[in-house]
Amino acid sequence: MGKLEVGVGIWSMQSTKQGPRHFSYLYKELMEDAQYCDELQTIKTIWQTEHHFWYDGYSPALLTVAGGIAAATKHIKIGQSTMLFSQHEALRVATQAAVVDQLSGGRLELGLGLGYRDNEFDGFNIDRRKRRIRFEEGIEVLRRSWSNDPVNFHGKQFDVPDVSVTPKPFQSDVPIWVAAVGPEPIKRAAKLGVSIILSDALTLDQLSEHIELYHKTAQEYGVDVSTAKMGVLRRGWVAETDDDAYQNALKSLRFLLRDQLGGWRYLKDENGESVGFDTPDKLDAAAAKLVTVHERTIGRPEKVTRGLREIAATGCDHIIFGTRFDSLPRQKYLRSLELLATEVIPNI
Amino acid sequence: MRFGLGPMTLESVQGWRCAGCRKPASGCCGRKQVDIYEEVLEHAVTAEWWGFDSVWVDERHFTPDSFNSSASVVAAGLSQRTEFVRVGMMPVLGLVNSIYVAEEVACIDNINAGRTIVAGQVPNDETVRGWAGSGASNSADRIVDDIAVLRKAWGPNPFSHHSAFHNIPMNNEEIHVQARGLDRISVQPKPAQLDMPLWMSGGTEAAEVARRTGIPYMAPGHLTLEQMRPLYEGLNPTFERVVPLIRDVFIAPTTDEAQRLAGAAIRDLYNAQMRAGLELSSSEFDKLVMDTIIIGDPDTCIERLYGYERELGVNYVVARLAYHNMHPGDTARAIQLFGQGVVPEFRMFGLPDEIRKVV
Repeated sequence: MGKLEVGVGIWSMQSTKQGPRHFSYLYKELMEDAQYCDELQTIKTIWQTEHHFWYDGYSPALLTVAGGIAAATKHIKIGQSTMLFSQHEALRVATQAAVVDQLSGGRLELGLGLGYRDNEFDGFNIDRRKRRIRFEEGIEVLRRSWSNDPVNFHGKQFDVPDVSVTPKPFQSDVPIWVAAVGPEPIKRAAKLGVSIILSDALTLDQLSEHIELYHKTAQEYGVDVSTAKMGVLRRGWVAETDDDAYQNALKSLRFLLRDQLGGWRYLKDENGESVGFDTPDKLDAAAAKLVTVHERTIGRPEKVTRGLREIAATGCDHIIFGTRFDSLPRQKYLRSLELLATEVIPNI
Repeated sequence: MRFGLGPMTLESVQGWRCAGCRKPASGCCGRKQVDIYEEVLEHAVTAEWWGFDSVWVDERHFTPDSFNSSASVVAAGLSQRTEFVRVGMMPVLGLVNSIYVAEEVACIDNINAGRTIVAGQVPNDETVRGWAGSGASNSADRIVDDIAVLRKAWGPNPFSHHSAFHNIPMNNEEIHVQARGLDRISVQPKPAQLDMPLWMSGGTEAAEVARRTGIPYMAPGHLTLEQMRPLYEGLNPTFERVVPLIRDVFIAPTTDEAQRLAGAAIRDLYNAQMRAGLELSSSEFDKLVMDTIIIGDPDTCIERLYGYERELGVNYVVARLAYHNMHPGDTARAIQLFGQGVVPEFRMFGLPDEIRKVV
């Protein structure tokens, strides 16, 4: 079993129907949370998440907000799980990421995903069908932008002449993470040699298979992945007792999985088809199945520690402990973070 | 008159010495950009303490002196570190879909609970060349169109915007199943402010955009009074309206000391900017010192600033004060002296002479 790093997240900054709070309040809490996690020290990374044009203000500008987190903290790394990279101009991401990395003293962990909601692509006037090639070309634009040579990239989606992006990032090699949902994205990530963030819907057996596939592919293509990390998102909550944890977290987890992800057609049925509000029975079943996946990391410290050890045994070396649930009492939330940092992480 | 600190530029030129270095130049490890970013956040806190109204961050692209390339990211950092001052940011417009800028500003405005001012800039030709693949343009029409998108995006209602430069949202009949039939979008979150302050900064082109859109115009630091007169003309400043101006300023207890501390540093910066594309000859720099750059004791600074108020109707000065090739301690002292020795003259109407004279 490798050493498991624990990050927390995923900060979405939503002002929901259930908890319609002022956005300034939410962003203030984010900065306070970031400082709290920074002081706890055992939590390695704070993770953000992105969507656009959603009714509840789901966080749309991650690198900008990362600038605020960088100014609020001293040690903790700042990651995205994930920035919807295909919906962005890659050159803009390169310049902003470099500035975040300078402002944070080299603490950026740039997490990238494809994006999938049609409305978001529409808003940016981007054809969703081009999202994969935008992603692949975009990665190359990032790498060239951060090198010492002019960018000089001429692709089908991005065309950048012989300009030099300045400033450069503080880190000589900014860690890139890619959301890898399914075998083909995992193979593509392995060929690139980047770290991966695996889906929150995977069982332990599936996690092992996916990580094995990543390493097998890297070996096959002769890619050095010795510094790449195998990450996974798992929802979790720590309380003094299992009952307390269930009482606090399960209702909110069900809302998150059924209502929010259902609204985006993110969940899939047993046949792999996307399900949404138009098929409520299937949506209920898919959400209920996911609740059981995450239950292993909801409970008293000993139980959550055991759950994280099981995840570490699959070959994962970074877990994004998804502990941001809607409308939960703040003191209980901060206590959950404290228990995670002081009684779970040191004992994994 | 109100005062801002900045705009912070955060450039780092090879050969600059690290803060407080006592080694010979050849042995100095050099000034690290990462330290400059931290210093800027600290200068903002200092300015807040000494009575400034705002702190500002600038943006340029592809410069050899590694000028800050994201006003948004640094503005979020300034917003987090400060509590009360406004946060001025100067994004370069005309490069990408304006929705990105709208979303970033909205998030910043929530981080700082409604303290944001945006002063858009027109990209120069080299910047447009670099961003051409993203559809960049520095035509006035393009910048005016960007401003229209920003205003709609920050407004209360869902919107669409179809023009020569934007297609929001795209026609999705053949492409996107989920979004079919949705002909408007709503940028979320909205800024904390009901009416986001939006200005233009730059030369002739920026003034033209300001004139066409009816928003305040802010001249940059290197323009002389004679160059600025026509740019400010016709902007119809009213009694309530903000008339902003950027000036390169440095202040010390005596004019000799101010020149000793900052004269070479400011010349060095202008040299770096000339290498980066600022169109200015070396001989013009000396004229600039006389015409635009304010280096001196408090009385000198006050006299020069009254001149801009008198000649242009300026009532909001963004004073640079922070030059990143200087020791941050000297900068902090200058910020304090400006706050105590200059700001009260303009902010505290009726200040008795007896108190004014107290050093």
